[in-house]
Amino acid sequence: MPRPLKRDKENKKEKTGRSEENSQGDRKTAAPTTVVGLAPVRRNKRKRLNEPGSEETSSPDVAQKVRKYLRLRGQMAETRALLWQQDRECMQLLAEFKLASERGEKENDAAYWDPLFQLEEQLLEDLREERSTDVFKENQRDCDKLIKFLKPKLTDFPDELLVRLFLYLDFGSQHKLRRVCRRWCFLLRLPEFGLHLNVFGNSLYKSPQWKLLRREADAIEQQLHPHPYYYRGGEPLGYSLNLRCARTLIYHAVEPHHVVFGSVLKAVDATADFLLSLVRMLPGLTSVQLVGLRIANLKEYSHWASILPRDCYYVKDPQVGWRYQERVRDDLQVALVRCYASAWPQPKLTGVNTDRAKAASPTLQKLVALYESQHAYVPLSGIVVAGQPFNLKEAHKQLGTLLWPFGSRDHKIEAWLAENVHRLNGNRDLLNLLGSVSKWVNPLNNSFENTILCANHHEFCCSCEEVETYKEMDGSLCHLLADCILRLNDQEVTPLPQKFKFQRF
Amino acid sequence: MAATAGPSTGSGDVKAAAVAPKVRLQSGDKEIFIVDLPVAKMSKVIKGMIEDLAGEEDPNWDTLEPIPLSNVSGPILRKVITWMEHHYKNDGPEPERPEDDLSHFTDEISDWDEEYIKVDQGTLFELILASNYLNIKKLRTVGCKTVANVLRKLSVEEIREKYNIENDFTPEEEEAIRKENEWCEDQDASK
Repeated sequence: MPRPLKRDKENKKEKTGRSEENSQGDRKTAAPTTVVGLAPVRRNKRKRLNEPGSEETSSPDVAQKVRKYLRLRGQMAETRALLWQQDRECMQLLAEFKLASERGEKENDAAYWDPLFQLEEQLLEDLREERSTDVFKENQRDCDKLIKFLKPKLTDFPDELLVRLFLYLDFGSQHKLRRVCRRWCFLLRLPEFGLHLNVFGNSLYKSPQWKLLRREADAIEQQLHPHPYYYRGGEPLGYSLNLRCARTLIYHAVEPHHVVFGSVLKAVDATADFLLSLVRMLPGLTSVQLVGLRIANLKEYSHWASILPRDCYYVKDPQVGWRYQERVRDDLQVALVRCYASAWPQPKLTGVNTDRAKAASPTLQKLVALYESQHAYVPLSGIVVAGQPFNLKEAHKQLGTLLWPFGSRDHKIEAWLAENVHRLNGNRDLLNLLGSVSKWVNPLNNSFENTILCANHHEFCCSCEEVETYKEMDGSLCHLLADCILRLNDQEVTPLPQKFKFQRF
Repeated sequence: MAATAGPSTGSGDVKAAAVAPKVRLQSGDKEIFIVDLPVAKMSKVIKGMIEDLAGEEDPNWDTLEPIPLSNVSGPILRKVITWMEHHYKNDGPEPERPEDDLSHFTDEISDWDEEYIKVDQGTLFELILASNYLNIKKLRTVGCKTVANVLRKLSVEEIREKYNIENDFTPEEEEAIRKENEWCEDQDASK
């Protein structure tokens, strides 16, 4: 630590004189200058910090601004560190002075040092308590101002980053933000926003946007009928709003449909109807992407896949005039992106079966615990269901592959299941569990309990219908059954006809 | 800890770094951070730089010059490294995703990220800019979603006020744009 004690008397006197002079005016401000030269450092640093700030404030070059910011920030940190180090040193020095003075080791008398000590103590006290000296306040204000100025603002974001940010907004908010400023307005009119309509869940439903769409749709109908220039040869004409320009409708499923216990089909229908309405109102669409859907089974998948490409248009009927007609749009692509096959509806299973498990047998508890520890959904790779014509069979084949771990709904496997599934009959808890689960996993198949589980003796029926029933079941439930059979470690279970690759979802 | 994230300039740290391949990152304000190689590679930009620096042969990482990241300040780089370490430890390296991948729209912000991103506005913007510069998509997504969530809740006037954005429309333009987006006003009013 520096010990500036070896100073000649003249120097001290000079200093004292200055101190006294200053103390008549703004003592606190002047004091650090006299003792440790704190104020000049501050003042100089402040000057240095302020100087470049005003020069390049309006520079449009963001990169340059960032560089400048970092440089200034570095300087600021350096300055602050220096200031605080000086403050600490100052305090220590004072303590030493005082001690030395008390011990009488120094040639200086207390009368000389005491006023200075008082002054400095007061100053340092002020520095400690909210740093309330004028100098510090001024410095602090400048620093804060500088920090505020130097901190990046939303307006400093480059265009591409702002566009990325805006893409996370829903459709309504994107429109709303156009009113903020010219730049945002310009950015939010870029094709990125016009060509893709992002819908999060049913957020549009009963919203102002929805009203707008309805109103537009009505207007279109009124306007078009009986002079439909809306479609000419199936091609839409001119778009006034970017809604009409939307080429891709991206629907983000935000809620798992299967959580809606007992009314899944209804929920699916409502969403599908909502989407269908949208698709109809956006004639410029070339593709619909369904993102994050959780599809329970083939039936539900078919429901989704087949409902969307339907479209309506007006045709000229010589007898009736213009007539509204439905058709399957063969020019619309429906794609499933990041969708999931439900393998085990974990949220419901956890909620319901935890309660049940309390009163149930250890086997059931084990099963619940086993499946609770696993993930609930199998991610599906993207599927594009193209039209021309829409091939439902092909779609079934694709989804079947994804839902069923054997690569395809192989008859051999189904036969194997039919042959061995009765071995599960010994475990009544399991059967009950399967019956309950089937309602969640396969809500469209309400007859599961009646056909698979015999109402009287809770056994799998060995009728020829049984195999048919397995065909109706979704892959995840078949998977579960197969898993349960293999877990029995029963020697009599016939070997699997092909290698069984369990995916631990 | 997957990496030693912390400013260091002494030779002691370099010695310690010899245990596992580590790289040194230098922030814009000349702070040096020693980070595990795979963690650092979570940034596409750093990954590219490392590949350029390393060349074809396996280099001696300790003697390599620190990688300069002039557009990122020390405190922000420290925060970014913390994020990378956590996600490397918990999620592993980020998988390559196709350009048209839309999962980032639906992926939810994890609790940890939510807690991590609870910073003042300036720092949040700095983090977004840094993640954009360093090309760390996931972090950028987290930041952008956070800001988007705030924007969604505010009215136009509130946004202007909060983010100090000047209304540079002429009255005529403003009126025109207001009419065009009239249907959004109900939404504002309902909040």
